[in-house]
Amino acid sequence: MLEWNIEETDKFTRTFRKYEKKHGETAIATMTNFGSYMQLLSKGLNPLQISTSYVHDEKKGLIAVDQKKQKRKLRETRLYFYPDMDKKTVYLLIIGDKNSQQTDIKFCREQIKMLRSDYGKTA
Amino acid sequence: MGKRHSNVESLMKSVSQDPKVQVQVKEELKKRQLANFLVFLRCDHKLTQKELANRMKCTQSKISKLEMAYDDQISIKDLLEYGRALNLQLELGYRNKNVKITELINYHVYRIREYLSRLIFMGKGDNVMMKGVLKVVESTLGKFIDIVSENLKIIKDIDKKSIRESKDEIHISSPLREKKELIGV
Repeated sequence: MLEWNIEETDKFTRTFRKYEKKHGETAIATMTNFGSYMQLLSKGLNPLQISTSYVHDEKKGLIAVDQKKQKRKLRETRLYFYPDMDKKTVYLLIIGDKNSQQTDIKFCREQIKMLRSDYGKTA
Repeated sequence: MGKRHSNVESLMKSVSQDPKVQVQVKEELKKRQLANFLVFLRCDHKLTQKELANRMKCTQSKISKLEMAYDDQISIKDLLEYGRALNLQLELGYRNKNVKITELINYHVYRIREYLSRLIFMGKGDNVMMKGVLKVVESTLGKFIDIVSENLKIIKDIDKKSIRESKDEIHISSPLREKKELIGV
C-alpha cells in the first residue's frame, strides 16, 4: 500500500469553510469525490492513471475534482489540488465555483510553481 | 505550508467547522466502496470509460453512472459484466465479521497446503511435471521465509492503526494478478 499524505493550504481551508457555510451539500459531494480519489491513490494508482467522471486534468500537474453526485444537480464546483508524486503528497490548493474558475486556476498554477521550486531547493 | 493528514477523515476534522459535514462525507465514502473499486479496476487496466463501454457494448454514460453509484445500487449483473470486460472472474463470499486476522492467516496457510497437495497429486508418475512441482514447493518455501523475515524486521516500528482489520459491510479483495505480475510478491 502506498502512503499518500494530504496537505491543506491556508487558502484551501479558508475557501472550504466559506463554501461549507454557503453550499453545504455541494461541499460534501465535492469532498466525497476527493476522498474517492484519495482511495484510488492509496490502492496504488498514480495520478496520471486516474480518469473518471468527477476528475478533471487541468494540465501542468493541476487536478480538480467536481461536485458530481448521482441524481443531484448541484452547484458546479472545482476542488483543485496538486499531487506531488515524488513526495507522495497531495496539496489542497483551493475550492471554488465556475465564476472563479479562471482566477482559481491561475492561483493554483502559481502555487504549483512555488511548490516545485521549493522542492528543487530542498531535494 | 499547512497541516498534513494521512487520510480524508483527519483532513475533514481539521478543515470543516460543521460536524455534520464531517459525518456525511465519511458516510458517503462508505456507501461508494464498490463503485470506487470498479474505477480502480478500470484505471488499473488503463482503460477509459469509453473503451470499457465499447467492450461492454453499452454507453459511456452507463459506466459513468455505475462508477458513481452507491453499493446497494450495483447489481451482480453489473459486476459480472464489468469483470467480463476486464477479463476478470467474479468471486463472491461471506466472512464472519468476528473472524480474527490470525484465523485468516491460518486459513490461507491451510489453503496453500491444499493447493500444493493437489499439485503433487497431479504430478505423480510424471517425472518432468514432478520436477516443476518441486520448484513450486521450493519457491513457496522461499516466499514464506521472505514474508516472515520481512515482517520480523518491521514488527517493532509498525503503525498499529494501519493493520487494524476492516469491519466494513463489504470486504473487497484485489483481483488475482497474472503470473508475471505475481513475481516478487
